[in-house]
Amino acid sequence: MKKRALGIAGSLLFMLAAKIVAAPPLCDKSQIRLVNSMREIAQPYHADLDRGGRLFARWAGLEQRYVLQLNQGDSAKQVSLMRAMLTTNPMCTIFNVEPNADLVVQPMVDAANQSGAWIVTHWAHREGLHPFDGNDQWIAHVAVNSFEAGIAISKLLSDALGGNGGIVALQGRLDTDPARQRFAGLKQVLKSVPNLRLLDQQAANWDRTAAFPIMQTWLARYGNQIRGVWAANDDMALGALEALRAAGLAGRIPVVGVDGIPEAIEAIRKGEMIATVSSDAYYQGSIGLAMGVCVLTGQVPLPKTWPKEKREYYLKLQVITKDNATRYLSDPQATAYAHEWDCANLWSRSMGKAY
Amino acid sequence: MEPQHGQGVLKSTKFHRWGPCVALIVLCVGFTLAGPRFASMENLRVIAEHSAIPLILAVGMTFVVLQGAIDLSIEGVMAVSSLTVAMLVLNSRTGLDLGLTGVLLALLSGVAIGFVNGIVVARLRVPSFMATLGIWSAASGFAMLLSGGQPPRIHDHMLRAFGLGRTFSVPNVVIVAIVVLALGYVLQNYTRFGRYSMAIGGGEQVARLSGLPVDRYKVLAFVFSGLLAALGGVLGSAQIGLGHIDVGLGQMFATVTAVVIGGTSLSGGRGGVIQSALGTVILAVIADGMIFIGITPELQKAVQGVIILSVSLLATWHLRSRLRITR
Amino acid sequence: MSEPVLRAEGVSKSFAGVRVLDDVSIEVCAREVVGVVGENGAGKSTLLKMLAGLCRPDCGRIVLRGKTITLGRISDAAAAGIGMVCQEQSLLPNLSVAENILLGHEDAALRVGVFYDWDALHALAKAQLERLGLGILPSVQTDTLSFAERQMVEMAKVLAIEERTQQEPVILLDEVTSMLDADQTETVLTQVESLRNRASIIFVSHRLDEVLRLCDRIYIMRDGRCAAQRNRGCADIADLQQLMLGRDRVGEYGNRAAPESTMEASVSLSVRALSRANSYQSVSFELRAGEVLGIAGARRSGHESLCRTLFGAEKPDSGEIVLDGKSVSFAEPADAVRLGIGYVPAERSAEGIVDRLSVRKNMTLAHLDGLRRGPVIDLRRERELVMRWIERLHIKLRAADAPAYHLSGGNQQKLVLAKWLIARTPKILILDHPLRGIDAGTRVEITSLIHDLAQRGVSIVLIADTLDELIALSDRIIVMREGAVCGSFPALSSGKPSVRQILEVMV
Repeated sequence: MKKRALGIAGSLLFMLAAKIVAAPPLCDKSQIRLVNSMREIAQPYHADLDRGGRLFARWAGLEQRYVLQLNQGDSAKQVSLMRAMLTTNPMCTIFNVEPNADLVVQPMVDAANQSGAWIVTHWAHREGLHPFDGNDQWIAHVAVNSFEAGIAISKLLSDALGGNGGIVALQGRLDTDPARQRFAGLKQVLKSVPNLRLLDQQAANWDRTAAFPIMQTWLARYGNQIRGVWAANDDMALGALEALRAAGLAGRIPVVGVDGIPEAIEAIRKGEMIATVSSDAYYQGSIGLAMGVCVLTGQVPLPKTWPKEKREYYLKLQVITKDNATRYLSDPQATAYAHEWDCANLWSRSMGKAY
Repeated sequence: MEPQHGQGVLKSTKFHRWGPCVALIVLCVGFTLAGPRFASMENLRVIAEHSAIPLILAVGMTFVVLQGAIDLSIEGVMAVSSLTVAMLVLNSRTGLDLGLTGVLLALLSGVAIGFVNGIVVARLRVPSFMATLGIWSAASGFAMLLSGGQPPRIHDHMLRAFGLGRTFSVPNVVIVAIVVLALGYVLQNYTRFGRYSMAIGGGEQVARLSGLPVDRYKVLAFVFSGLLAALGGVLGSAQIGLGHIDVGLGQMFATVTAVVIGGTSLSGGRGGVIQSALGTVILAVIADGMIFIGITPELQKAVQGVIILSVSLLATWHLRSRLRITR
Repeated sequence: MSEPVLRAEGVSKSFAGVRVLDDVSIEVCAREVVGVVGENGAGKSTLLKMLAGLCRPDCGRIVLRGKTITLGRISDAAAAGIGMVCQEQSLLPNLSVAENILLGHEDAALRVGVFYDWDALHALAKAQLERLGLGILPSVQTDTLSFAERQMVEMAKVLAIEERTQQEPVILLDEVTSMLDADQTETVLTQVESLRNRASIIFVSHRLDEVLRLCDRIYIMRDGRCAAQRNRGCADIADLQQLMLGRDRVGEYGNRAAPESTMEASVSLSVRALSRANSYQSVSFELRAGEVLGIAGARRSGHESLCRTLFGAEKPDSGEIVLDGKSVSFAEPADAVRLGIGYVPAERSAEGIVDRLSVRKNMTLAHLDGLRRGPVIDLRRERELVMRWIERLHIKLRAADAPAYHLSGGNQQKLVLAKWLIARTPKILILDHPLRGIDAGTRVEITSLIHDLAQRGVSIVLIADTLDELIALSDRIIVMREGAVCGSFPALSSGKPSVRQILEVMV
């Protein structure tokens, strides 16, 4: 607790200092290019990432300078799309990256270092890699504690079942950190609740069309041994929900997911899902761009001068259940985030260091 | 003078008709022994339901393959039809509520794309592999445009109920698949479309020289494939309740695999819809069975590959003559 | 003589610079059978193809019943009532016989104009087949039939035109009897004769006796021109041959220098108790260097299967093949090739040449290893070798790079032979109907080539179209019947068996 207070104090001082010792602008505002690099646009989570980025761009007067890069699940493509963009004006380009897989971060950071472009990454990267280890172009890594998220939803599922019964688990893409960490969270909870049994687990790769047939097969195999469904993301949870619906079980078997997409929140309100965790896709899709703009316009000093915990920190997550679901239903406006995009408040959702 | 078996390169014996059947039986027995509930009514219903959309796609693909061509664009067509139907029936994005008309228009989109495929292949003489690959990209791109960032959610209750529901305890999608299969069978064996498609696959030059309107039937095959792919997209969307560009993800490869292991040759002129249907059921059994016996997700792809290889070997064992051409 | 039904006036045609037809005019009148004879490459096939709509003349015109017509496609010719049966089969192998016969004209057997009434279709086809006296079931798939049967189905297909045209059809027959045996030939000829009352027929054949028997008039073609015309009864075989070749005819099968020494030559191939289910059982024989062994047998005697086994294309179930004293087994034909065995197949266009490849590439196909320089083919050597062999065998063509399907049938056969000879000379050469469909002139050339090879020590196994051919070419004949060897005759020029003797054992 004390450490925390000191940390906050330090940050405040730093920010004050930053305002005084602000550096000259590195780029003319009209030169700045904002790039959001993500897997796809079909999933609501990603659609919100993109929407958050656009909201920010419009707010910052850079609407025409916003670019979306989609790699369709191909890691090599994510890197090559970035490299293609670096051929022109790299030093005024900011990349806000949702990595397709952990291993993608290194090559993208290298590309940024070599060309002078700026990059902010989210979620997770491989062990031993840190922005503050000489990666000066790597502004920050906004980590998500997927482990904590996994624990949170697993606990809620367990509570809903009274700590007793069989559940099935739908995993995300197995080569990504969020998938592994969330499942690790589930396993942790299972260890501590002996009467809660994991009947089966399958990888549905974040996709509801894959989750649907798997859930159908499980219903045929396990019948009413299944008392609850755990899914590593909302899209898969919703796919499983359709299968339950076809079997007339929607609303009777608790389902949990992660992401906080509107459809999931709707389902929670109706009682068909019981919980989800939101990292706030709008925020994730925009904060990296906001940081970059602050650096390029000289409103904050260069990242290499920042303290470590500002370069790699955990993002605050919100657990959404029936109690607070209504709050998250409507489409957010730029005004909701403007305060946090301000260069003075960039770390307002930080939960502390992530290394 | 009696007819005799001669020196034709394509010697047909009784065995090849039964190869895939035998494979299917072996798989079913194997999985049942490993996990007894595999053979339960509920699971068989699930397998049937999981075969339904792939079967519909395979019937369409079969006619194209019989002609010696291939249609790689079906995933794109499914994406377009999925978004089209989702935006035309009662949904969360547009204010339209066209019901059945919306469904028909979505099917029409498949017909249109198939028509384009056909013209490019038959008139512009672009090899079908390249042509349909390009159309796949274009269609997917178009679908992405339609989807924007906000995939439309389907609120039309009748459509949703149809996709997820049953009639006389048979899933509706299975009924549609059976009807499509019957239609395919009739077309294949009782119409010029079917017989001429075989002819084109067996010897396009000869067919042309014999005065058959080859181009017309090529276009027809692609139109049919597009139509059925669109139907698959519509049904898939009805099930998941969304207009989704990934509603057909992976289906192209799965469909071609099904057609091939069922016994329809990719070089054309041999096989048929029943064989392709068998192939899709085999694949559905494999996918379902692996979940049933609990093979870990990491191993699944490897196991699936081994099974498919074994099935292919079993299905083509009789054709092992030294002078046979394998492509 | 009435007004001609179909007439070609001054037509010319060149392919890739080679003048194939030069100002040719022929005509056929109603209910007339006109024969066209000539050496291979004389232009007969091209002329017929032109009349059938398969190619268009460079100049000249075609006149049907007094009106000039252009035949752009086969369907134009078919609509005009002209049908052709060609050397290369035009049947679709994976369709049934009935469908092939009625291809494009199924309307009569369609319900509501769309759905096949298979019973009606089969009945219609059966009617056509029966007119030819064929017992082939209309429902069988065409590729299960033998070559000869397929030829008959083609006849039935062309004859079906009769049902469809108002006027009497013109039927073009290109070498329809070359691949048939005696019975089948007789059937076809009888059919053609009966057709004469209701159609006009142009009949092309190498078998001059058939032409003389059937035709009212005969055109003799030579080097792309119409060299002469003869009426029925005004010529005999010798006359025709002289007109065709433009020179005195040489003995039909050439003379073989008596190889008295073969008895002392070493045994190059020895076959012991070779068996293969459903083909042949317990076959044993020996073959010496420089010997020509002919195998006589009726259709199901297994002799063709035996030859394919010797080449490694089929696997025997039991027994031994001994080559130069060592027992060998072939996993695939390439093994046999490596050990010095060559095979000239019966269906040259399907199994002997790769028709899209150039002549040059075809010829060196089996010999590429010998032309290698490191990992790369020595193109210059290849060219030299190819030119040498083209000259040696008198293969008529414009350029060695022309695709092989441009060659006439006889030249294609020479190409196939060249392919096997261009490598080191094989130890054993298996010839499956080598003279099939070849005209007289080329026949002589190839025959002397075979004799030549035998003289040089190559052992030859031979299956021929007719017993006459077999007797003339072989040094020894073994006869097979229903899979077993049932007789053996020495056939040296000093004492050849008669056809009768062999037939007695064969059937």
